[in-house]
Amino acid sequence: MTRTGWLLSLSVLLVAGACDTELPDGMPGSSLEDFPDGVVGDSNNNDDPTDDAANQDGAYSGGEDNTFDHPDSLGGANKDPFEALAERQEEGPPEVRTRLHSCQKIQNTALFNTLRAFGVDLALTGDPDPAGELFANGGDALGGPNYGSRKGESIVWTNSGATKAQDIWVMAAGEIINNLPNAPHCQVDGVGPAMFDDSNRCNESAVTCLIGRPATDEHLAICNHIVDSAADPEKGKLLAVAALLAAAHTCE
Amino acid sequence: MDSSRSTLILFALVMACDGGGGVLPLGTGKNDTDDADDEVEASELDDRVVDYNEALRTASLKLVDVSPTLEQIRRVQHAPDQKAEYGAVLDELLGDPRFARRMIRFWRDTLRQGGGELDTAPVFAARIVVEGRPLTDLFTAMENTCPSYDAETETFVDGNCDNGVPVHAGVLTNPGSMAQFYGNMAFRRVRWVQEVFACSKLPAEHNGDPKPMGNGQYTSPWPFQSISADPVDFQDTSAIVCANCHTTMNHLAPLFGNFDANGDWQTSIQVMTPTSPEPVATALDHWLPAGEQTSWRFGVPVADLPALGETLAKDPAVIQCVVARFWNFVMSKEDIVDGLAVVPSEVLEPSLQVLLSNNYNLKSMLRAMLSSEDFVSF
Repeated sequence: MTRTGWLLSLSVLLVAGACDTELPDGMPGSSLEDFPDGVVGDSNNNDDPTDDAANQDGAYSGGEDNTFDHPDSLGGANKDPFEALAERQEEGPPEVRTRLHSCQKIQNTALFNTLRAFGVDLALTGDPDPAGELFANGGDALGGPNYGSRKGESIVWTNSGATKAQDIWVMAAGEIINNLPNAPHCQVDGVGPAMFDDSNRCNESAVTCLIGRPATDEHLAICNHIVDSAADPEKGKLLAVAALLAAAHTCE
Repeated sequence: MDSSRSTLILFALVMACDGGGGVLPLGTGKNDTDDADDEVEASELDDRVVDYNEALRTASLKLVDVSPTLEQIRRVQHAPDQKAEYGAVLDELLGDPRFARRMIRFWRDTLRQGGGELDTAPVFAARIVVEGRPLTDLFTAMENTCPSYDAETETFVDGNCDNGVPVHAGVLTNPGSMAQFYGNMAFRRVRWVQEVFACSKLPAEHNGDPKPMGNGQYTSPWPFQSISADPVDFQDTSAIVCANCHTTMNHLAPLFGNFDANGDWQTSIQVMTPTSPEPVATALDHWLPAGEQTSWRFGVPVADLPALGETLAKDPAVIQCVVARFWNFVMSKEDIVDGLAVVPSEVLEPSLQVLLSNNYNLKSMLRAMLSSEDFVSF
């Protein structure tokens, strides 16, 4: 175990030791020794998915005449073990890579809620499609679940999903600029920030609320630069807001 | 606006990398491809920076499906003790009614079912998390295993499953789950239990001493003759060794055989055996020869579904699996089975210890994960 892992375990043990709770009858026990060592989910414990029995070609079937149809998965698509192996070789051993955040697709419900929180009317329809209509019709492209096929929502971006999200942010930008001061999500003590000041400069509080973390000078510089670069400042504002939102929500 | 799309995508990618040195892109490998040895990889962990502002953003999206409010951002940003303030906001998020809805979605995706009649199992599992009940209730609860969620009052509503099961056993007897995974000889239901709660595909059992047999090797600990050979020849070895998986599956499937396609329990077997030219109703000896007992694993007999539930609740591998699924949720990893997002037991140990010390309370464990050095470091 790494140094930080030991420190973390020690601190958790100290906290846990202070708790006086009882386990349900007949449970494995309070000792980690009751639990197997190894890699959970890896039948060989060697971090090579290409040699797992279940990942071999034809693992569950031989031919049309001597075996029944065996679907490869319960519902969703299986990851190619060779693709997984290549990723693991880049990302490092499991005790390292599993402790680093991955970049997952924002979930559709979170996208919906975030748009609404910033003042977007998700029931709005029109031509071209406003953000709400794009979202309503874009569930499949955005990787939404298909429980009828026993498939949960994807957490991996696809080209079509990322493109759809970009379109949504672009179409949402105008509504957000207009409605942000009145959005309770971005208000402190009942006062919400305008997206831009009278000089078309990006407002730090507004940018902070949009990206979900304190805006840095770099964020503001980029935002201002996009506004300045456009031939029409109003279009520049739309692009700046859409770019901030798209960037901030690339990873959950 | 279309002409601006490529500019936006490029800018988004640039922005996404800002401050994200410890973030791996999903499905594409990471940016730095040259760190080949363990020392470099270990230093990658040490190079991370604790960032409670970023942790708050991610935690909020994960727990309540929306980015944090400006007020929450400012509280953490300006707090003299950011760790304590982050913890305070975390507690608010875990107590927020939207957390219940998020957990329902988590379990829909995990259990691969949702909507209408298929929602009772996800809602039941979410309630266990939200109310801080032991995770073992997933398999052992005998009452209120089909609750609903009232979105208006933002509360769980008691409900018993009315599918005729003699004794309920958490999700194992849930009508929606049994309907969703109806299939020949109840094998899809077995596979659902194995993959969702044991976190691995079949074959699930290995004896460590493979024996050459037919066109392959026999790797199961069960006696080869312990499964039926007629009307389906599970002992066939001409293409693959069917028994490697089916010794486990055939000893478990009879427990699920009495659920019909609607998930209702009947007094006789309701699944079909895929014989030619027409399928026939499955009989017990289609799975097992006379004298064989239904079992979870070799040497672990289970007479019925409540007994299976008790067994799963005591199986360390099942407990570890649930912990791993939550770890992957927190760290934005893919599915542990379909996505091959495996997790070393040593990484799970701190979370597992919290779970053990808190009466198998998943909510406490989730809070510990979201407060961990790994989660707040980027």
